[in-house]
Formats: sequence, structure tokens, C-alpha cells
Amino acid sequence: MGARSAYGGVAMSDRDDPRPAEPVVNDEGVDLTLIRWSLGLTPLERLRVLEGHMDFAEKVREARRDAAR
Amino acid sequence: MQLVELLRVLVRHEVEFVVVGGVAAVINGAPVATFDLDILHRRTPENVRRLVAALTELDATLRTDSRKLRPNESHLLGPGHALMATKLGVLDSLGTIEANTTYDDVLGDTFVTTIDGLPIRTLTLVRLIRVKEQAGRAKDIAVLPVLRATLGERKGS
Repeated sequence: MGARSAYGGVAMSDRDDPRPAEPVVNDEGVDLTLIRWSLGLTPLERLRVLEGHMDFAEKVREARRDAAR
Repeated sequence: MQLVELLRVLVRHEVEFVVVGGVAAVINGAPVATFDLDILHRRTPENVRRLVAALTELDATLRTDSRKLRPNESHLLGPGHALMATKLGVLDSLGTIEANTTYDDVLGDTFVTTIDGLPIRTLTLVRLIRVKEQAGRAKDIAVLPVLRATLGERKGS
């Protein structure tokens, strides 16, 4: 049986490739593919991704503030 | 939030600090979200003077004070946490972490990595996990599975 994604579905790579894949999630439901992706970035690239998340969250907050007015 | 630029100001002022908290987790490779930069600063008078100069350039104000007080040396020489807003984002400068762990105490559990040409001293993932375990708050416990899994993936690679 193929590895399960964090949402319980079979990861696409398992359907396409019969070779045993690395686990996609661990026993605690952590998405290991996301961790491998992050570890493949440089520290600067990781911080740039984080800055993007922070900016997005701020824009959402501003939109909610504007909508509440 | 301009994390790298915020770090650049601190480095330019030669502030001695360790990146801790969520940003340390990200530098270590953990895919987690956070909304502030937490640093553990060295509490020598000279370093606190340099930190205050950096905070002045950053237009820092204390988030805990409704009068928007600017942080001064007395705020930063003690073991407490200065929670601040700056023109480049939210910055928390901590005098201690855990029960009473200082910058000097934690140095052995840090590493220096170059980020955009800046030497940035950061808490190791192993120590960060220990800090989060000891803090025991819901937000710390919630992130532990990702931190442990990141450590596991790093060991496996």
C-alpha cells in the first residue's frame, strides 16, 4: 500500500511509480515532504518564504479590518 | 515584515544576539510560521548600548506600553523580555530564556550561518526543541512534532 498524504490520500508518486517511496507523513501526521522541501532551501530562501507568509497574514488582517468598518 | 533587513540593522550595530523562537526554527529548516523575530541578547552594558542604538534606528516602541515608550538600557539590562514593534516588523528581545538562561549560557548550543552576507548566530534545533518542551505552553507544544520531524529528516539525510 502506498504512503498516505497528510489528508489521507495516496501520494501521487506512489500511483505513478511502483518503487517504494519515502514516507510522506510520519506517525504524528507531520508532512515530511514539506520538511524535505524546506531543508532543500538555503537559510535565506527559508526566511524569504517566511516573510511572504507574514506579509500575506498582514494583508488578510488588513482586509478583515477594512471589512469590519 | 522585513526579517532580513531587521537582522541587517542589528548586525550593522554589532549587537551580540542569538536568534531563538520560530525564526530559529525556520533557519534550522523547519517549515513553521511565526510573526515575530525573537532574539536573546547579551546583557553587557556595551552590548545593550549597541542594541539601543539599533532599536533607535528601527523606531522601536514597547508593545506592552500604551504610551508607545521607546526601549532604553534599563529595559534591556534585566532578565525580562522587551516586546517591541519596529518599522521593519515585530521584534522581541529577551534577556533570558527558559528559567534563567542567558546569552552566554546558551552559546554552546548555537551556530553561525551566513544569511545574505550577514553572520547570524542561531539556536540549534536540538536546543530549541528542549526550550519548547520546557516552556510547555500550548503554542510551543503544537510546534514540537514538526521540529522533531525536521531533526529526524536532517539526521536521515
